[in-house]
Amino acid sequence: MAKWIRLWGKKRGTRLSGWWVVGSVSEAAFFGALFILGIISLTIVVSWQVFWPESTILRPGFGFWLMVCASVSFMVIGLTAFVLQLSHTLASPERRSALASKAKQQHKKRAAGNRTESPDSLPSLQSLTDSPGVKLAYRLPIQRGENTQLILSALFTTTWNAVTSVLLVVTLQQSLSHGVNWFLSVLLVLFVAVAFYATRWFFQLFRRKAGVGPTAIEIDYLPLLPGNNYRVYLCQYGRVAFKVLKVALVAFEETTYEQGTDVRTESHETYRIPAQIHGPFRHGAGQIADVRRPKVDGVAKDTDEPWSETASQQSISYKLEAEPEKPLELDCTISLPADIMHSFQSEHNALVWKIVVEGECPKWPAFYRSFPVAVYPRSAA
Amino acid sequence: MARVLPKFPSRRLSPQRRLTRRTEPALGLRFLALQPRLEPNELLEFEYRVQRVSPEEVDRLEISVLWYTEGKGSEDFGVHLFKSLSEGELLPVINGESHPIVTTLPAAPLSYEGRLLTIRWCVRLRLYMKDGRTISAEKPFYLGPLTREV
Repeated sequence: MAKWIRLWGKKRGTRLSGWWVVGSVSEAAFFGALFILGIISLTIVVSWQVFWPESTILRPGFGFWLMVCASVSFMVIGLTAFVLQLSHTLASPERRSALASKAKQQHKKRAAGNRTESPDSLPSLQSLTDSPGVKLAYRLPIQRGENTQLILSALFTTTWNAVTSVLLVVTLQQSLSHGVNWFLSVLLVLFVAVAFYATRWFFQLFRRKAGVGPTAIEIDYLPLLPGNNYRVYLCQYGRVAFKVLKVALVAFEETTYEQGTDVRTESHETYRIPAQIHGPFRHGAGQIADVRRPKVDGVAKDTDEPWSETASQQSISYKLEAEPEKPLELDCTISLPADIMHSFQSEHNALVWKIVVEGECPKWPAFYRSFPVAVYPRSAA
Repeated sequence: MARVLPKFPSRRLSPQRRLTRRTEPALGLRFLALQPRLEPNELLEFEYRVQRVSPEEVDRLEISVLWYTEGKGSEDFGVHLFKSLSEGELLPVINGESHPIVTTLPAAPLSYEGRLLTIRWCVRLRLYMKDGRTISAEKPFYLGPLTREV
C-alpha cells in the first residue's frame, strides 16, 4: 500500500519504484490541465478584444500575438501528450505496434505503386540505387555526416575569428584614445590563442578531407545476398600515392539509448569481410576469375588471409597512384559468407553494412571513407 | 561442518491470498513443430490454452507473434501477427481446450545475437482481467540460422 500513496517515485530505465497507474494518471492530468489552460487563456485574450474593443489591455500587437501563440502551443502540446498518454494506458504495446505497422504498410503500398516493397526492418534500396554507375550498375553514395566535423570546425573558426577581430579593433581604439587597457589586452591575447588553435584545427581537417581527392565506389548488384560474390569498382581522384589501400565490407551495430536526459548513440564493428583487389579495372566480367586467385605452381588457389590481398603486399605490376588526369581505378571482388546477418533497421537499433576504404599515403594523414550498402537475407530477395 | 537449513516464512498465507493463488488464471503455449528454430517464410504453428478462469472475469485476450530487440539500445519491436479476442469471441476460447493458430513467418528480421544488439522472436499471450490485472505468457523461437557476432 505504501508504494501507492508515495508522492515521488524513481524511474530507472523501464522500472518504476512507484505504482505505474499513479505516474500515468498524473502525467495525463498534467497535460489535460495544460490543454485547459491553453483554451482558457485563448478565450480570455480573444473575447477581451470582442467584448471590450476600447480597452487598452491586450491590444492587438506584439503582446497580443505572443499570448495567442503561447495559448495555442499549450493547447497543441497538452492535447497531443494527453492522447498519447491515454493510448499508452488503454492499448497494449503490441496493439499500438500492430496499428502503426498496418498504417505504415498501407502508406508504403500506396507510395510504392507497382514496385516491390522491402520488409519494414530492412533498409530501403531507393537511396542506394538511384545513382547509376559509369562502369558497374550502381554508384554508391558516401556515408552522410562524414563532413560534419569539418563544417562545424569551419563555423566555429569563422565565428571565433570574427569575434577576435572585433575585439582587436575595440582594443586598438581604446589604446589609441585612452591608453593601454590591460584587461582588454589580456583578453585579446587569450582570444588570439584560441583563434590560432581553431584555425590550425580547421586546416588540419580540411587537409585530411580535401588533400586526398574524392573516392567513388560502384557495385554490380544490390541488394547484396549472403553466399554471393560481387564486383566492386573503386575510383580514387586527385594526386595521391598510396602505401597501403584496403577495401572491406564491414558490419556495424548501432544503438541509440537514453542516459538521463541525454540521447547517446554507440557503434561497434562486428564483422569484416576483406575485398580482393585484383588490379586496374578492365571491362568484362570473365577476367575476374582469372585475376582474383594467385597461382601457385600453375594452379589457382583460394586464400583466406584477410589482408594478403592488398595490392601493396601482392607481387603486382601496377602502382597505387592517382594523378589529376589519370585517377586510380581498381577492380575488387567481395565474397559474402552464407551465414552472415543481414542489414537491420529499427527506430533505435540498426545493423549497418558499409564498404570501407582505408588508405595510408606518405604525404597525407591516413584516410577512411565508407559507403553504406544493404545486405538482404536470401529469403527476402 | 556447518549445517545449513532452508528458511521458510514463519507467516502462513491468509485465506484471501490462498484463494487468489488458487484462482490465478493459467496460460499455456505450445509449438506444434518439434524444433524451436524456423526458417523464414515457413509456417509457424502453435496452440494456446486458457485455464482456471471464467469468461465473466476476462476483458480481452491478445495473441501476438513479434520480434523485439534487447541490448544497450532502447527496445524496438515489430508485431507480425496480432489478434485480440473480446466478449463473444472469448467464450469458446476459455474452456481449457487448445486452440491452434497458423501463420506464415516473414523473411526478416532473422534472430541475431550481437554485442550491442540482440533480435529475438516470440509468441506472446496477454490476458486482461476485468479487475485490472494482466497475465502474460511468452514462448521464444529462432527465425533463421541464429547469427552471432564474430
